[in-house]
Amino acid sequence: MSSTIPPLPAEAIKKLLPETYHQSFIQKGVRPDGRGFQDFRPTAVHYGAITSADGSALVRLGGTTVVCGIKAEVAVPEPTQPTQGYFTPNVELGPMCSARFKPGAPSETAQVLSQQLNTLSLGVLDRDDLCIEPGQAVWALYADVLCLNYDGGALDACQLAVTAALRNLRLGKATFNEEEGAVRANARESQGVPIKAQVYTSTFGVLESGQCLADPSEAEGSLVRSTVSVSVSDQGRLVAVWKQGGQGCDVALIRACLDQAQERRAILESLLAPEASS
Amino acid sequence: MPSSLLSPVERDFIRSSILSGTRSDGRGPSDYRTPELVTCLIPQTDGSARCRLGDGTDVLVSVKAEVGSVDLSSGGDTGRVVCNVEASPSANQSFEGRGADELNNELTRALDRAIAGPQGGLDLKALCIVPGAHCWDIHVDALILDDGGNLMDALFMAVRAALCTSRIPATTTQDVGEGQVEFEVVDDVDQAKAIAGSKDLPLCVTVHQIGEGHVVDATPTEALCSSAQIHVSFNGSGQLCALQKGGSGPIEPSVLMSMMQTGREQAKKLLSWVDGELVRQEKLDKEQRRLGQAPTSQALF
Amino acid sequence: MTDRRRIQGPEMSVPPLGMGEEDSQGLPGQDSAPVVIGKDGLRNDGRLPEAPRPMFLRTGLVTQASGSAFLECGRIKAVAAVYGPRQEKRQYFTGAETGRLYCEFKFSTFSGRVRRGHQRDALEKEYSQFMQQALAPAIHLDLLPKSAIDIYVQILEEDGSAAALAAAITVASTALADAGIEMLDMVTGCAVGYVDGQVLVDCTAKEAAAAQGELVLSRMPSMGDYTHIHHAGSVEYDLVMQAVEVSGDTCAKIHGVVNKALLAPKEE
Repeated sequence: MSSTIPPLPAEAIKKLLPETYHQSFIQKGVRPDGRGFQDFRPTAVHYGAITSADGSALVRLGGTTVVCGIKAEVAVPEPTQPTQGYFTPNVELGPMCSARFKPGAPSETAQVLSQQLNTLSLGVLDRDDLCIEPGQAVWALYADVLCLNYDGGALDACQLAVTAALRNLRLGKATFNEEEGAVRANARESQGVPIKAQVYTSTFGVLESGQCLADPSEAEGSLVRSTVSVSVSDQGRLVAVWKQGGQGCDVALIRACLDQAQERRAILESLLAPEASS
Repeated sequence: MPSSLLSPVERDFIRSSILSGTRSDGRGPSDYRTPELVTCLIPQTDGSARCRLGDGTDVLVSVKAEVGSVDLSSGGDTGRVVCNVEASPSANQSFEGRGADELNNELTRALDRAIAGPQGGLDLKALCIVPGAHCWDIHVDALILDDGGNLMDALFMAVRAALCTSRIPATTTQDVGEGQVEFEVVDDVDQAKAIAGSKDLPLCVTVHQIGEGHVVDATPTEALCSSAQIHVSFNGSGQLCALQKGGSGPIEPSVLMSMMQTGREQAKKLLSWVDGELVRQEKLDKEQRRLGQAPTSQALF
Repeated sequence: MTDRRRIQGPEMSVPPLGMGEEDSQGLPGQDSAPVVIGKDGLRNDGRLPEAPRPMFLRTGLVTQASGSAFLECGRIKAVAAVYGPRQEKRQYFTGAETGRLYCEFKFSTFSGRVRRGHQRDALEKEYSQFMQQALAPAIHLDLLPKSAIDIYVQILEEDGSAAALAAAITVASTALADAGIEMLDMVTGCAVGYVDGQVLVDCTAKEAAAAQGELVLSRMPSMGDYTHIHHAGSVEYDLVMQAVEVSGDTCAKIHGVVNKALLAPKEE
């Protein structure tokens, strides 16, 4: 069939037949942006981007840009868990970051992401560390992740942003004043929050052929039949594996993803290493 | 409102007639339709007023004072004014469903900006009952019953009239020791007092730019020809309390200046008219009370 | 009503007392009202009354959008993205002889001292409307029948809400130009505050809190027309006139920054 169509310029094929466009690259063993199958896109972390937040970070993963800002407030703990603080992550995939998302309530994608971040956060923070006065007052941390530009790999970028923002977080030294029934915080004596384990997430896309692409971009999403997201902690322990999408995949492939995620963890760790409290 | 409801010929006619100094209903460019103002018409409220302009525009405002707790983050020694404007779906076909949301928000915010802060003239400190604990929340709720153009000006007139005639109950405070203060709301109607500073409330004048000229108190048809309008609010001492541009057209700097000048002159006239009307009604009310007649001003329709 | 589409935190939470106090009170031992203009006629950050903060503006941050821009001015950080012109799907009974401009102004939850909610509040809705009024006169909407342009502005960090609106207008018009949408002129915005009978250009939140009122003006700098104006606070008529003039001049200054940003090579 293709023999009857005069050759189209690459740009036109990209727009009209995105699948053919990507497929022709994959067959040659490269990806349109020049990466190999196992390469992640360039990643950058910028700490303390938002001064109005108590902790913040801006993360870029290729074209994807997310900002996480953590606001610390105080709340009364649940009567059943008098020493446990709150950590509330939410992802906002607004209409700004891609034409895919519409204004209004969070999309399904955003809801899933928020839920995944929430699950991962259980291993990151000890909620008891957020206690100010048992039964009276605890910290309530709101980690809102805002996506500015959406180009795939949202979970990786969001999780990295939350981790970085948590490292950047400084809480004032808080004391509960019984007379006032209020919490006073001294901003001059601020301290970080103890982090149990840093969790890093890496996502892989599985093609119909069974090949595996690390960190698929939004455009490559049209080829990807299922995705595997692997979260590992800085102690090298496996925290979570999510496989999404209809197509099944080999156990061996998952194992390969686990290995790659471990490699990726080391890179991300060194990326986060610079002093978090700038 | 859809602009296509006006034919180009009609638009030209309105534009050229304004340039020549007359409008289709015989008014000059800076003449108001005679407003009708009625106060104290809802007995359950602490103050109410209704303003009608021409055959259309009809705005009903009620004022209700409630005891609330003070906002500690802003000092804890001030009361609050809470505004809400709602357009009735019957006022205009386009207000059905969520159609009036934008208008409601615009009018509520405009009212908020003009009267809810210190610029509104109301003495917010006087609304505090027990510093650090209790204060009066003055709820100003407006209902737009019908839209015959120039809603904003009618709304401000009704709000001023309602707040000027509002009476909030007197309170007595008692120090019970240990820094605790208790207060009591006095039931006696005769001891209820006016809201301090209500005479300093601003009135709003909307000036529409139509073609090369500009008019006040535009009818809906005239508003359709206008690309931009400004809402200016002045108080009794001639200070500018709020200013806001509406519409999606640009305004030239020199035109803006002359529009604001018009607004300033009209606001002065309007203020003295509203105040005169309030005094007249109060007199009438007293007179009727003395004679034992039912007050006529209490009729809603 | 709980929002089931988001992760829920505690039912109620408040910021702790005392946080950021050294921030809002300036030097310790200063118990009177904050001094906004010093004896030397300079403001706390060393600016002259009529000097705006330096502005950083760049296009092309949001690659998914038709056009985008990022603005930083003091602590203010704003991102604008423009999508379109696209087909207008909703059919209005008017028949769409001109295009429609849809603006959304949003503060991020962590943008200010106090955390904001996820849902758009009255202020954000009003500012969206103001943006629409400010930008529409500059766009050739009559050349785009049956189509719509969407503009989204996200304020990542704010420093006074009036200044945020002014920044939003500037950054949005830059994004519109970046998207290649036909315009009559750029639109630049400027906010000023009235402090002790003086007009202060581009107030910080601290200055705005001490001000008797604020004015936001947007202008098409080459044509000179005002596209939006709003003012709150009871001040003398002549002072407002002065503020209109000063902010109009500042809008012209900002035009230079916008031009430079549009001519600069794109990020990435």
